[in-house]
Amino acid sequence: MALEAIAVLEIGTSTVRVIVGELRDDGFVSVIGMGETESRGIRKGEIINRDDAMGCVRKAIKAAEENLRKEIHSVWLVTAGGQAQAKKSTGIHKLVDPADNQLMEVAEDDVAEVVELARKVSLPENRIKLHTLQQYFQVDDTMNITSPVGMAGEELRVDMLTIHGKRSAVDNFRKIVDDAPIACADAVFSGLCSALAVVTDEQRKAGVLVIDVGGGTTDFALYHDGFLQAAGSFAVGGDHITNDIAVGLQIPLAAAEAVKRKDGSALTNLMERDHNIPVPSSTQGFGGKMVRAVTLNTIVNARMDEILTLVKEQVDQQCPNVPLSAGVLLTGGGSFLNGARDLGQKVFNIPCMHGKPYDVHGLPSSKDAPLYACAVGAIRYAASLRVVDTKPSLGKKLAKLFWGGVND
Amino acid sequence: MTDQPSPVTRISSPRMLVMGVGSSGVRAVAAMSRLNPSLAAVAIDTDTKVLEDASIERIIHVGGSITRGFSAGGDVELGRQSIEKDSSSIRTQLRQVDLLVIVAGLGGGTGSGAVPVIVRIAREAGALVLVMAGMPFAFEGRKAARIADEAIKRIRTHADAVIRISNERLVDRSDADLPAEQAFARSHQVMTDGVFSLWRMLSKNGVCGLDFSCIHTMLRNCDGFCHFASADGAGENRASVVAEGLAKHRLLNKGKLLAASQGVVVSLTGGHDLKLSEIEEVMNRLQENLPEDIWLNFGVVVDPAFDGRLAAIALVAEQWKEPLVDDANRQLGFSFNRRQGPMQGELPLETAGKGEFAYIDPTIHNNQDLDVPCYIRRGIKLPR
Repeated sequence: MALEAIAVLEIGTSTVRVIVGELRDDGFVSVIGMGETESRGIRKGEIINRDDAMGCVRKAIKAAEENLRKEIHSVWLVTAGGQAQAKKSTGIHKLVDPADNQLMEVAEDDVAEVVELARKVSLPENRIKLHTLQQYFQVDDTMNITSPVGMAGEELRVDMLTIHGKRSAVDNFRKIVDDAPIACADAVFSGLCSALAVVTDEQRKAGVLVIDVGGGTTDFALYHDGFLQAAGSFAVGGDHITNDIAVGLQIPLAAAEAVKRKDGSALTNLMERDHNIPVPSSTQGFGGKMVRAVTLNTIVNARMDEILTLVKEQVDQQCPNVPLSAGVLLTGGGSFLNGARDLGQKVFNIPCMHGKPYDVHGLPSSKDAPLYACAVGAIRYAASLRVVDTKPSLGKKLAKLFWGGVND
Repeated sequence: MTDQPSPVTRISSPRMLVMGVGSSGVRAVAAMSRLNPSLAAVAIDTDTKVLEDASIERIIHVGGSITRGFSAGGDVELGRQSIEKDSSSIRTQLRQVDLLVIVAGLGGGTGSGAVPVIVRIAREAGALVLVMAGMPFAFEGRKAARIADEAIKRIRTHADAVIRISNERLVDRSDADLPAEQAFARSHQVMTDGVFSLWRMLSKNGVCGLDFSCIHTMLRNCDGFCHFASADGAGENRASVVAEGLAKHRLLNKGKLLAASQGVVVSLTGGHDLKLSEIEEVMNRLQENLPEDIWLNFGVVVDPAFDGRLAAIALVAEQWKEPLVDDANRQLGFSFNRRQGPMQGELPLETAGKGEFAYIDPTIHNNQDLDVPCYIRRGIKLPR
């Protein structure tokens, strides 16, 4: 039985995208509806013009509804959370019963309790909790336990990673969705979603870093040993590359964007010293220009290098010396930049690849797949939550009523 | 002028630092600081042996964990890694430097690998960077030449100017009997002349204006590369000695380069007894060789120590074209005049270069506004 379809709304700095999909029993995500529109009124992942942003959201949802031929009532909001950050917290639970002074076995309830304790993270007023993800357990001195139930000890600890975002940014996006008007099921962090879509269990164990270079923001998530170890987001992205080009070459933004997509490369190749690129004239009065490839690429290289170095810095800060055996995966629009992967390889000194969502049906093309990683991941995430509190269907309920739980 | 070092007054401003990188560079810098002990000089190498011999106060040994105190052995990658491992010590050296002169011999490991990195760091620290690079002899093989060329290309992307000093040109057939040690030291001699002239230019006032910015203009226009010659003389006919010395200098291909050149900067240094007729003589002799429509800039420095002597340097550009590099952004005022600069990091107030991000919340990280184009903040020069 496939679960009910899930609609995901991703309000990006360059594109607003709605994807409707369902998680099938065989683990595949099947995309059944999609709508997207160029976004306006959003810069660096935050709203600067509410009316424009609202218009884009409405347009994208309408397009998706037409594509799906059904109405969308509620969406999951994907957000970069205005520079989301991760924070580690620890919950401690004493297992010893003071009365009979004896070691106790860890029971399910203890686990639930310690997780609940660790979840209680105090955040500043202006931050909002997006996710809390469980990491390792620790029973007394035994560290890095993944499942402690049944072990004996005095004290149970658990590490949790809390991803929190800027309250105003997240609330404003929610409000836009509410005013669209559509019910907003929950907000999820885009970096986590991208990782969920492109990382397999195997890679998650080996250690992998997923970087989603979007238009206005860059999000990252690092898995190792099967757990999320680091995550974050900062407001530098593809638009900054475009802006650098526009300033550096003195051409309009639109021309800069076009030349970045077509000829920009994150690697500076000294062989192309004499190669020139024409920037066509536009109807708005720009007269056209010839620019040197080496100039263009010097600009792009500097910015891309900085973006990747920033990620590296933050990862090193949050969890130093984590082996990334499965390499670095790049997703999002920025990953299409020529040479981005080679530069990633240089910066991180490990293989760097395109991160494409696995086990997905119905995406427009495999080549563009990294663009949809985030939305596909959000569908997976939403579906995984739903499985937990799925109510048995009416038929099952009746069966249970009559035959007394034989099916369970 | 190197026969007798001039008595030295303490440099107050602008501050200049000479950095010798790699074994050849360290030796050159050691020679310089012997002649002029007050010159701010640093020696950087991977080879402890070379550094011990150098007898300079300020020594930075890099890559101890990588080469274990030996040389980089001609491996550029090792040279690069060594310097990047120890880049923080370089940064401390560069904290209050306005002009950095890097002296190095290219073609080996440490020089070719480390100089591009140091240049980048220096630019990020806001210093003007001039590189004097000794190019390898032809007999050192194609590989050395290729390594040197590659290194020059990398240096060019960040350095304000590069002066190539070709070992090959400094020695010719008539020098068959020249001891090898002297042959290799000749390029050091040239570097020494150049560094001291620059130092004079910065510390002494000229009668006729010529300062580092003139040289900078010249170096910008000559595609970043130029030739360099120096000469000096004393006594009655010092003017003609200097004039002949410049006009027939080996590094100028015995004067042939002058005829083909398109831009020249000449700087004369003399004592209080320097006569106008002497300046005239030198300049006239030079101009005989020069093409008519040449871009010529010259300056005279009067230094009491030069009484009875006359010294001259010439920078000669083979090519003259539109500045290849877009330096427009350097005038934006980013960390340029840092002499009285605050010790604490501060953000520039202007929105220069921020383009579409000018009027929204800036993204601040490590005291940097990430919305300002990266190449401006890193001080990368854009090839035009």
